[in-house]
Amino acid sequence: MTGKSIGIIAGAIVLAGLGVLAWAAIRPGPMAFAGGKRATLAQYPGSPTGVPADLPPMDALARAKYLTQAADCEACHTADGGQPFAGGLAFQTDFGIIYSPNITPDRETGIGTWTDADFLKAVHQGISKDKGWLYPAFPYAAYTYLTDADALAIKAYLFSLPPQKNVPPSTKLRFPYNQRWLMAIWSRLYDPDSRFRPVVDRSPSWNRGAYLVEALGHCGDCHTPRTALQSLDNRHKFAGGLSEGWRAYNLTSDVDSGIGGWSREDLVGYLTTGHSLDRGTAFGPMAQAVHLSFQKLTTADVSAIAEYVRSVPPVPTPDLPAPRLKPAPEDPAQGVAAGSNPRGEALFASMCAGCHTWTGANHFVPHATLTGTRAVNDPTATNVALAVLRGAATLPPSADIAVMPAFGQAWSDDDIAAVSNYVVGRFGARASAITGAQVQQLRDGK
Amino acid sequence: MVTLNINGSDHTIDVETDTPLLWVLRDELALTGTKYGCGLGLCGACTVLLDGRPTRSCVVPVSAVSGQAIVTIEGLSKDKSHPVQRAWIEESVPQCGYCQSGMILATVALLKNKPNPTDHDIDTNVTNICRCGTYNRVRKAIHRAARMQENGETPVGGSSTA
Amino acid sequence: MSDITRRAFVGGAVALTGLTLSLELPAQETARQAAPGVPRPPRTPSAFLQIGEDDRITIITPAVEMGQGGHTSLPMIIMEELGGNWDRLRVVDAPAAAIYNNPLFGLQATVGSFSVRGWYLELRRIGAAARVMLLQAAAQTWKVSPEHCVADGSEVIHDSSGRRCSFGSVARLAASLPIPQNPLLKTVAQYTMIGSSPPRVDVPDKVDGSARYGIDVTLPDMLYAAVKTCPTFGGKLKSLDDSACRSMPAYRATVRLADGVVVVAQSYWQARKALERVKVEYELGPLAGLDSEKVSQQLHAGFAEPGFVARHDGKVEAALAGAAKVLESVYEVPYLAHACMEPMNCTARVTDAGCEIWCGTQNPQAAQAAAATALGIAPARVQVHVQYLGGGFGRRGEADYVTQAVLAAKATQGKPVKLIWSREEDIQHDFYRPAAAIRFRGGLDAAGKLVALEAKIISASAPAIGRPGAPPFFVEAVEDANYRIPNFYVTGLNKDLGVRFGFWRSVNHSHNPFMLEGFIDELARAAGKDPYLFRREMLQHGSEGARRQLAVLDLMAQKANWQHPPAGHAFGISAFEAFGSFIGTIVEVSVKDRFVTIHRVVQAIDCGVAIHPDNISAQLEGGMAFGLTAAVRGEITLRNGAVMQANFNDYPALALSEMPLVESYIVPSTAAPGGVGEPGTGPIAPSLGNAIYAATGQRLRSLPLSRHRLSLKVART
Repeated sequence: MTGKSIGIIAGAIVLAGLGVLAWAAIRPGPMAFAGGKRATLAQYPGSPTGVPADLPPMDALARAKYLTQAADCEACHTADGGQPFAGGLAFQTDFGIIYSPNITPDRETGIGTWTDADFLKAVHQGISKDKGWLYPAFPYAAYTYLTDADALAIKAYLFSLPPQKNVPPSTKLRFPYNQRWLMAIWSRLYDPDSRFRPVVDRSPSWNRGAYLVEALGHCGDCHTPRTALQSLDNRHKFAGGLSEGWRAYNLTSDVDSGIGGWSREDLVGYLTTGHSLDRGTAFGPMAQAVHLSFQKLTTADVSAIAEYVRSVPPVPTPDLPAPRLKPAPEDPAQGVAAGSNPRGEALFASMCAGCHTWTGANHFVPHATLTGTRAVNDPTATNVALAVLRGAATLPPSADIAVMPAFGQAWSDDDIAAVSNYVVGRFGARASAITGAQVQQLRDGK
Repeated sequence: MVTLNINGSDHTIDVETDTPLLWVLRDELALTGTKYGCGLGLCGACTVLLDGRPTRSCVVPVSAVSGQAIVTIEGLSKDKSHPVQRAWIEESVPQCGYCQSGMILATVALLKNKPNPTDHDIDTNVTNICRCGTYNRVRKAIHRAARMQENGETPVGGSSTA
Repeated sequence: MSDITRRAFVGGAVALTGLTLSLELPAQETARQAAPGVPRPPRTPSAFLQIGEDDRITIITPAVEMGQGGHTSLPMIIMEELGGNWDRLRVVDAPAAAIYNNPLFGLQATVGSFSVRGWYLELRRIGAAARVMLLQAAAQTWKVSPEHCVADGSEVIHDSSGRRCSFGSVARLAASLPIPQNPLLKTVAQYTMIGSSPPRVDVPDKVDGSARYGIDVTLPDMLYAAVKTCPTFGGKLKSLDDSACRSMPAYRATVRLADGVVVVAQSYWQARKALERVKVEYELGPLAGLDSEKVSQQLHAGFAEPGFVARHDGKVEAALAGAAKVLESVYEVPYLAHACMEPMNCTARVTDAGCEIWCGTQNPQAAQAAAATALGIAPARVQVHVQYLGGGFGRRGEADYVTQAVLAAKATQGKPVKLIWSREEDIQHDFYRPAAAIRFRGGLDAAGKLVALEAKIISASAPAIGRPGAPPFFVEAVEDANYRIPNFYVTGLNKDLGVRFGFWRSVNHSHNPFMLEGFIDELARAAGKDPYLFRREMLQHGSEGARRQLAVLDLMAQKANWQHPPAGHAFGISAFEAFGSFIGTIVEVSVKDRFVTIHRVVQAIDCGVAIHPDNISAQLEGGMAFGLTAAVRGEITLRNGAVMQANFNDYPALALSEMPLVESYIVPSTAAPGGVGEPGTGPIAPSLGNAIYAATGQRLRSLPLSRHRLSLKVART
């Protein structure tokens, strides 16, 4: 081969590589699916930002609290059993453990010395006054869409809290991820550092929903799959992701594997009560989101969120079948091939049937119904196993009639696997085969 | 206000709708044969029959059961004559006895659906917890009661839904 | 032995006429009951036995009924000598009174499998005395000699003429006759009732919901209370804010405890809901950093600390030094909860007149004393109404929940309050079976004989009761082993780690045999000997204990066909003396893929005279199930000074499907009765551990099985 042809081939390869990189690196934004013409907020006649119109009259601090709840800062900035907003929650990643910082106004260990500009820089650009570049475990690529006014309202609310002295453990990631300056590149690629721009041809309530979802609720951070570089793959927006080991399921309008079969009422009911009959019950991180965030929003806001989410085009999740809606037989001896899972059956009989019944339908306590739920119609049995391991532990104890307890402490990984497979096999559309080793991984939070 | 049909009679009670049926039975109606053991549907001491189905009353809000026929242990017979009760006495099943109301009702329901239960049927359908370890006698009494019912010995008195 | 004397009859607390009526003891009598060292008052038959003119026999039993048969076995003893008809019998619980102190240890407590043992002779004398008086009364009426009269089936029969009369018809006359001081007692050969299995008196009420437990007590104007207390041991209440529940219409009162809070309301569910709304802050106290790892570390550290000597035969150091083979092993067991099916509860009413309490309790005097202390009044002003216990197992010998109920009742202007613990409170505020560890060293000679055994026992323990000079409980089952070992050295360190502990069914026989019989098994294997024969060898020395333990061992081995386990199965064996009886168990297992399948359990007991054989076999089975649950998955763990388990989701019980087939055998005996309620619990763990070793070569030196990732399966062939 001639030197020239080698050079051409080399150049083509480099160009192709750059093209691939460019394709990989430059991703559509979270609202790209909607198409349409975008306007700036100044140009837009409605007001999709700030607090909703149907919020009862309250003072500025209370309105700021509303926004903070919509953004759900508390969930990530509170350790298990720790003071709210004082940081220390551990995020297990493939690269190490990230601990959330203390965002109470303590001057030594929190953000008490931060100015407005400092706060905006963190929330919009991912740069912390104390730590420098923040890891995208902090969803600043979503919060960047917050208006300055809303972001600073949240700051004002945080500053109204009593300062808590707490130094969370240090975030330690393995090389090269511990090089925070690399996040500058990530930020350049994936944080547009621009404020929310409504889509002109969509309704005001849709745009309000968009703001709530993209700028505040940051749903995509759990429900959208991530690329290898940990950005959100918005080409498959809301097609499902992982959150603390739990599967955050497909929210697209795909009928079989998403929520395409859900009515608006189903979704609104799910967000406001944590449950929708024959659809599912919120568990794990979603239960916390319902409790800390969605339940605090107005009816109109939740409705707007539902409108926006339901407009996301269908993207299937191949391993999720259409849910089985028919309850299982009442007779324990029927519904599962005899002898196929005796251990699971014995455990289900002892520990589960009392609440969940052999049919999977509980008419007295609807949120204990298993029939039709996505978790049970998931042949990986991931969320079923996690629910059995941990129970509804993220909800505060209450005198409510039935809160699912955790079974992980007393039962082995093999037991949890057996009963999870029994549940999925008896009530779901497709059997699962989760193993004890896989349950151990879930148990250890990996 | 909620109206409940218990052991064949209607009772109207002023109670909050989310109160578990268990506590309505015990505290409002003084039907203390149904027991509190765990409050989470795990132990079965609170078992009653709801339209013939064994149901753990500690996890059932009272508002959900008006209009259904509720049978408690008190409703099986007026004089301990239900075949299951007689089998329990003949085999001397109870020790401390606290779990036995639930155990008996679970058995009544089982025998209705499966008049000749196998040991495996008993394993999966009678999952009430007993800390005194009466399980082998429970099993024996279930088989005995099945034979008694097979021989045409029907319950005397009490609710016809049993 | 006490004299049987007549007491002043002052009407009757129970309205009966006829033989010896008085139930009311003079006030001075009841005041003396709690004082230690006070001479036991003479036993009045009337305090135990009443016969009405309606021929009804009322027996006031000093043993409570928690499923162990106390309301049946003690009356049987009286009825045997009395000659009464079982169908006429009514049994009531005794009130708190010194006259009901168990003769063996001086307290009115149904504990330690002591009831039959302690009362056997006394109750026979009472029954016999009453019989003699009835015979005399009938003879007097008929003008015949009492020697020709017999008592049978609640009748007096004149043997030559055949004349009969009912007990009731001569009861009033009999009551006026002198009480014989030394009535003739039957011989064992003459027994017709003892050794039979009459229907248990409590069973019928337990099949139709009419049996009343403490939690079922219902009184006019009664209120209900829910309680929560500091999760850490030794913690205290710092502050509480109940403003959120005061607006609830059913709310009645908040009562502060030293370590928690009680909320009183119109119904239990309302009380619970209100309790949830109370914001509480605790001072967690010095044990807030305690966790299970530290517990284990502290137990193990105890091996290096000095203890006391419980037994010292021979010269163990020299013997070990000269031994052909020396083994050393350390065994350990965790805390366990009782988890009675009926959670703790008590109903109390406090008025100016005094206090009444209704509860299931194994120790009415302790309940009375706790109430008296809480109120600052004399115990005589506290009346205790004992109910059926929905499980005792040692937990209901404590009176913590009585104190709470009484304090709650103080706040309600004389209305009774029923205080009920949630299951979570019950599991997390138990008096746990203590964690324990034993380090063993054993020396075998060249012939494989055990020549030296050393054991150092570390645990928390209560002092011995009623046995002056006896070592504290936690060395029992080791220091009193019947094996003849020429050099046998047992030391113990009583180490209280701050975790609240108490008596769990079979007390130290629940774990010391697991450890000792496990180590004995290790020694047998090291000696290359059959574990059954190895034990046999050490029981040849002819003492009564050794002889009887040997008989149990041999009976089991024969029934199980020890020499020939079925193909693929393995046996494990253990036997020891406990509570005055001799108990043993053989377990037949197979193990595959971390599943231990129990094919069969063979139990044998020598409990001396067997009062009610059917109940004995029920107690053996039930006790075995209690021990099996603990062996398979029983573990109370601590984190941040608090118990991690809360309900049956994380402290699971054995299920009906997991109950193995059990064969129980009673060694025929005329020896004095031994205990029966607890022995069955101890042997299952060591036998199971030994069987698992035989099947797999894996030696378990700690429990539960789940810790070793082993699970249970039951084969029902």
